[in-house]
Amino acid sequence: MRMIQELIDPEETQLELFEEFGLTGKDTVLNDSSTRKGGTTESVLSILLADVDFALELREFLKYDEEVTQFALQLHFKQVNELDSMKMAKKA
Amino acid sequence: MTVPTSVPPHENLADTVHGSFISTIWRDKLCFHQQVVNFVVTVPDLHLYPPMKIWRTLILFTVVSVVLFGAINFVYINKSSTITVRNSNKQYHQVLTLEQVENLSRLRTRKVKIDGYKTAVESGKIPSSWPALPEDALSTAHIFTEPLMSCEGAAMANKLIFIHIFKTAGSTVREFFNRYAENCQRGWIAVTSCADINPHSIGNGNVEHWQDRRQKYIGGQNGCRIVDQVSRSASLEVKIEMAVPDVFVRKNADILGGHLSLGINPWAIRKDLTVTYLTFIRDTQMKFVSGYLYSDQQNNGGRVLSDLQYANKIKSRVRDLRRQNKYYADGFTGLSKYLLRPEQKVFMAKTRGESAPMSVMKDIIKQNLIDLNVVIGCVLSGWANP
Repeated sequence: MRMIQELIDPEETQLELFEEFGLTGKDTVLNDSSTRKGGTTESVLSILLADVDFALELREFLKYDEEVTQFALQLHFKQVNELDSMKMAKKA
Repeated sequence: MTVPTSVPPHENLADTVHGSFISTIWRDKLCFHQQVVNFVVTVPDLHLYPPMKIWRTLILFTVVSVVLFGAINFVYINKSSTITVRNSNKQYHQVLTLEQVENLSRLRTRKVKIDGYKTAVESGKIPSSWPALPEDALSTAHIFTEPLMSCEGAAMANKLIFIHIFKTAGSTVREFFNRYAENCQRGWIAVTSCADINPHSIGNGNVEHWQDRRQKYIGGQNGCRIVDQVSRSASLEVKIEMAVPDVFVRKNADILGGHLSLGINPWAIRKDLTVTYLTFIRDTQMKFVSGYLYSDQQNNGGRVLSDLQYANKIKSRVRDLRRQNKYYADGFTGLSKYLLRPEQKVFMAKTRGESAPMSVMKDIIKQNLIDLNVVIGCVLSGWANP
């Protein structure tokens, strides 16, 4: 959310809105739309991963998606660091 | 036969729509640097000079014949055989050898299609694989961008495009942009099912509505359509409809979001604005399971199973696909559905079929994230609910 804020609201006039949607000083978006009665992602995944053999199969099945995701995650971290540096430089 | 590789990275997305295919060929033919992958290359003009030698005139005459059929954009050949690659408001010159000019002529006369990538694909001159991602791609990537717009004052020309990857906080982000647009009087348009768009139906002013890559249908209940919109002012028209009118989006959106494909650009014909892409990523396992649960319920009339039943269904599904040696996101699903550019999907579909493997596409996706300087948000991995 910090990066979105920098992109579209650099003067921080919509700070309340950003905070409502998860701007907490961390680079995170939160979602509290949990209304599902059964079949929650986390609980199903924990069942799947409890089966060690299947956990390995699942990791193999997802490996390319995981590779791209990890790459994007590194880019994300670089972007956050660069944003911090930019803001520090502005303050200085 | 080497051309110096001093063409700098692109700075304007408007010119990158068709560049991948053409430049990939040219990289083989003319040893262009991979950066050129992002340029559309065509021939808009040609100058013939009286004192030229006859053989050179013949070569250029061949090129003229190509020009008459409208084959190539922005490659400009003059009497000194200089190739000019124009990137928006800048030009970069490379001197070609005569042999290179001949190759260029041969290549271009094989097919005379207006479409650059169509020429490439149909001429059979496409390489069997995409260029490999440089090892230092990540470390050399330019990362952040300047502010695009502000909540205060008149709307700026710059645009933000939110690429909503399936099961990655899309509903939250869409709601956020809706509220932002209302508060700040900015144009917000949300679309869905638009990840498989024909690249030629966007941003060129020639097609009324965005069209699907594989079919001819326009919008519809399950097709690419507008699902939400906030206008800049009450006096502007609001459209929630079963299609996406190209001109309407271009006129009314400051922020465009939804299930889209990276690289689409309704403002491609506008050279005066910057388009920035934004997307969110999520832990792979969580995203996969969340997506499975969602799809299963959609396909079964909303019926909810127990966690154990879901787990067993997922095991069965994954093992079945692995027996076929398939991976998640093969065949333009998952990340490949959203993070490949439309023209790259066309390329992949032509060369690898509709079940193109993610093992081939993953490096293209990484390169796209860098080339398009995509702003990447992150959804917490430990997040339980979709």
